[in-house]
Amino acid sequence: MPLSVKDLKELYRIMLLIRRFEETAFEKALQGAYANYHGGMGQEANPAGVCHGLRRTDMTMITHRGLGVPIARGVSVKDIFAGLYAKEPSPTRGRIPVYHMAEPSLGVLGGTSMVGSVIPLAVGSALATRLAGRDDVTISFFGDGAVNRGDFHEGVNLACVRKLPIVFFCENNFYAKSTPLAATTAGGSIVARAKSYGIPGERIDGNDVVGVHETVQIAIARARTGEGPTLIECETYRWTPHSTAGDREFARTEEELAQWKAKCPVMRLEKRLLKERHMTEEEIRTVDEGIKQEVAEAVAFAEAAPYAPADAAYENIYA
Amino acid sequence: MTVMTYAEALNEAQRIAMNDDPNVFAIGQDIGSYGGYYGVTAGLLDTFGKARVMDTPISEIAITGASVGAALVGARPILEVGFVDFVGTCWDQIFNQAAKFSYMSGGRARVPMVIRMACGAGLAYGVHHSQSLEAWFTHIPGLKVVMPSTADDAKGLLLSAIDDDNPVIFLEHKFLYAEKGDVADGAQRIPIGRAAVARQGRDVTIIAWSRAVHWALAAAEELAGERIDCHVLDLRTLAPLDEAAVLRAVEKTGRVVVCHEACLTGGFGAEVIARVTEKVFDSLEAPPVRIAAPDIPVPSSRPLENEYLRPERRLADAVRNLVAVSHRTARQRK
Amino acid sequence: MEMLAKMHLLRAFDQKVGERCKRGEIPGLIHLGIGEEAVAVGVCRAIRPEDKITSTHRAHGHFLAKGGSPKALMAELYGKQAGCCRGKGGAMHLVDLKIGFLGANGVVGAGLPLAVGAALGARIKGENWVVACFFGDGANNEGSFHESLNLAAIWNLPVVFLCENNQYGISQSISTQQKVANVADRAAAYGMPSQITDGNDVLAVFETVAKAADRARQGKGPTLVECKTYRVSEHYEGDQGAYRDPDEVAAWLQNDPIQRLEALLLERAVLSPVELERLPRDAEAMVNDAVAFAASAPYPAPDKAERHVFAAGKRAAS
Repeated sequence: MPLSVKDLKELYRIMLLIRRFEETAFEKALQGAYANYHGGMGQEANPAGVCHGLRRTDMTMITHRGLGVPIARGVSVKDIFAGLYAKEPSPTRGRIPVYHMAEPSLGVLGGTSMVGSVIPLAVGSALATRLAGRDDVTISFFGDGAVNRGDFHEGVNLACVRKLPIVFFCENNFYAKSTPLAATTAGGSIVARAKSYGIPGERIDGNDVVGVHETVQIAIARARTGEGPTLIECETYRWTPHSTAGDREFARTEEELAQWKAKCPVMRLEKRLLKERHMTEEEIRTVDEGIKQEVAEAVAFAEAAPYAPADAAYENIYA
Repeated sequence: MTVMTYAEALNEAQRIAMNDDPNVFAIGQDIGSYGGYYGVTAGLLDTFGKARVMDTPISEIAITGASVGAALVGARPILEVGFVDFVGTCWDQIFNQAAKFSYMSGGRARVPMVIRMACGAGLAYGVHHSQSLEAWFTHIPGLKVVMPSTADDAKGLLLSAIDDDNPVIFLEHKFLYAEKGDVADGAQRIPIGRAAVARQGRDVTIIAWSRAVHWALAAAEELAGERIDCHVLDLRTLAPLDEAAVLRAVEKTGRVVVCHEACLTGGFGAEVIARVTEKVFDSLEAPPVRIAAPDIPVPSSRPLENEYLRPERRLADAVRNLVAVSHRTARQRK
Repeated sequence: MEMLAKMHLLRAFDQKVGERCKRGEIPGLIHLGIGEEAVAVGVCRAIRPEDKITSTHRAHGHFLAKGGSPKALMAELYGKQAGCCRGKGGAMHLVDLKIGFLGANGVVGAGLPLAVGAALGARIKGENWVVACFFGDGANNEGSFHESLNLAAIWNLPVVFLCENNQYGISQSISTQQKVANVADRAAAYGMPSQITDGNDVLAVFETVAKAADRARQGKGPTLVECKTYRVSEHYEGDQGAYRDPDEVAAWLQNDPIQRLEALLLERAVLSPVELERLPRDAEAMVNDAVAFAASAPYPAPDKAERHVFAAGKRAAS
């Protein structure tokens, strides 16, 4: 289904919200407000494009990088900042780093720190969906670093053999922390691996939110009708280092970063909206102001909130 | 002697070992130009080149197994795993393969490898980046487990670990990487399997390892002002345990507190205390005490993480209590 | 001819082991490789004595084909001190570094990373060994397969990944375990060349592996070779599982690798009818010797159980 103007505006709003969130989250981490943050600036088209139009009951399983997916699925930036600041009002009262978060009611099942280890979990989610006789879909997010993991291999194979309702969504930002793709991935191509499992694969421009959305929708439709998984490789780029915690910048050139910044996903959609006169400069500024306000309030809320008392450390060890 | 950080000491040990023996090589994620998560392998790539300082994909099964395989045919890998919490993904290759080759070959094969892993909490890194899992490794026959507490020990023990023809699990507390200390010059080895007395004392024995040694020494300082003279034993190696040193240290004072950062239940402190009660029970003036983290995953919010790290704060009181209990017992016995 | 003799040895050995298992003389979990002899023999013949192999839980054939002693093997299966591992390893944990046998393995897929490591070790030590890594169709869905092939490819290591596809992972037919029809189809994912060969044709196995080993030796990197064969034995001795179609089994019995080579050699008059008779008898005799040796050899003393947990000392001469 082609995207309506309303859809395009919504995609823009979400990407801008994620962008402003990421900018602030990164800045605050550098200021020492909290221990660490793995920024997702530059990759906004992926969460926005994928999550647009998902059902509440579709599951998205995330990585350590960026909080675009929870935001796109409706988790408030207020909750997310409370989580980043590890304060009492956060859903876990500050117990966990935010990318581990789980909000099943919104279809978000949290990431883990072991790269790739979420993939089998996502496969399990798809398996359970099938067992329950529903046609909901699971989207498994992971990066280029995960594709050489055994978890990837076993998870994808299992999903294929059982034709599970899952979309394997790879955000290839060309670096696993400091190690470039060429040094890690034999054959040099992530999408090429789809064939060795017997599933279709697509490589797309991960900074084109419309393209991302449309490609994922096709994969989702396949999954819902029982045709099994698809592997999607999105080429994108992160503007920030791997994380903020004592992280040294790695050897990438200024030119490379500049080239990718020129492909900024938010700017690209903004240009289109303006060109096709779906929005005016004025409207865009208004939206941006509103978002900045929302983010600022969320930060203020988190900063002012108290920490949970020590006994909060003992909750939820067991269900 | 030169003052340097724990991380620098580890770097130097690797440098010396790699210089001396072309079979020694370093392998791990982001250890090359990036220098490792904590800078421990900084500069090694420039000195020894890509052939001996290997950056890898995120493939723990293959990297760990490849290290074992290389060791089997006579190379000597130093594998870096950035967080001990990730050991689950390497686990089969460590406990089923590396640990068992010597035994299952009837002594004909050996696996001379070192697996360096960073452990410990205190940086608000959360559940998957803060654990201390040394107890798991001590339970596997065939693995040696080393946990240095100072820069000097780190260097000397790493050199010994690389020399050792067995798989050595070398656990480095993240908090200690920046700790400075006097480090012996040259290539002096510190033997694996030998504990060290970190502080001589007469009244109470504190047995600790890794970061907890620093807690113990700080508590001892504080308690000295109250005329409680603590004897601090740094295990340095957990497996094989220097049991003789442990028993001597306990017999010396008759009072023992074992302190570690790892969770209480199933922690290595339990093993130490079991041996003490089995073997030198009669020398005890009071029941032995364990001070350790509560049995919880490590939370990330600072005050909650501090709750996990409460052994540091509770140690001095535990010693005071123990002294009081032992006096009561002594009076009762009279 | 040598290969035929070797295949007979493997066949006779495993048949005897099967028989002795039933009598209760050989303890533990025993996995026989009857029907798969051409793979072990063809591969080992195609590499040099100094090259290494890693093996699986179905290891007797690999061990013998690589030059392992039938006596030492039988004694090990019997759990005797004279066994190749002093009775400590047993069937699934055989090790013999002298013949470059880097280990049978109880964990499916665990040998692949070890093989990659051995190749890495060769590079570090400046040796030009090739490592042949045996694994089954079941292992190719293990994470270790993926990681190992990727690593060997990206580092251009001298490994021949040898998939002994006997169509079953215990009770599961390969068609239920993966969508792609061939294990070899996986290689493209790593930019690695692959070859499929008839695993019951020992000459075909030999030729294919010799080429792959050559490639590796010349520094051109790893190859994935898939040998299609069939496991005539049950998964393990005592396996009651009747999960295979008897017609399928019968069809593969017609495809017996030993019979095929014999027929070929007879046809080419390389093998005489006399030798045809003699070879299996010789093999039988060797195996009987091995059994006699093993059966009468002493068990290790109980205090030996605590030895060899650790390698003694430091830096043994390597």
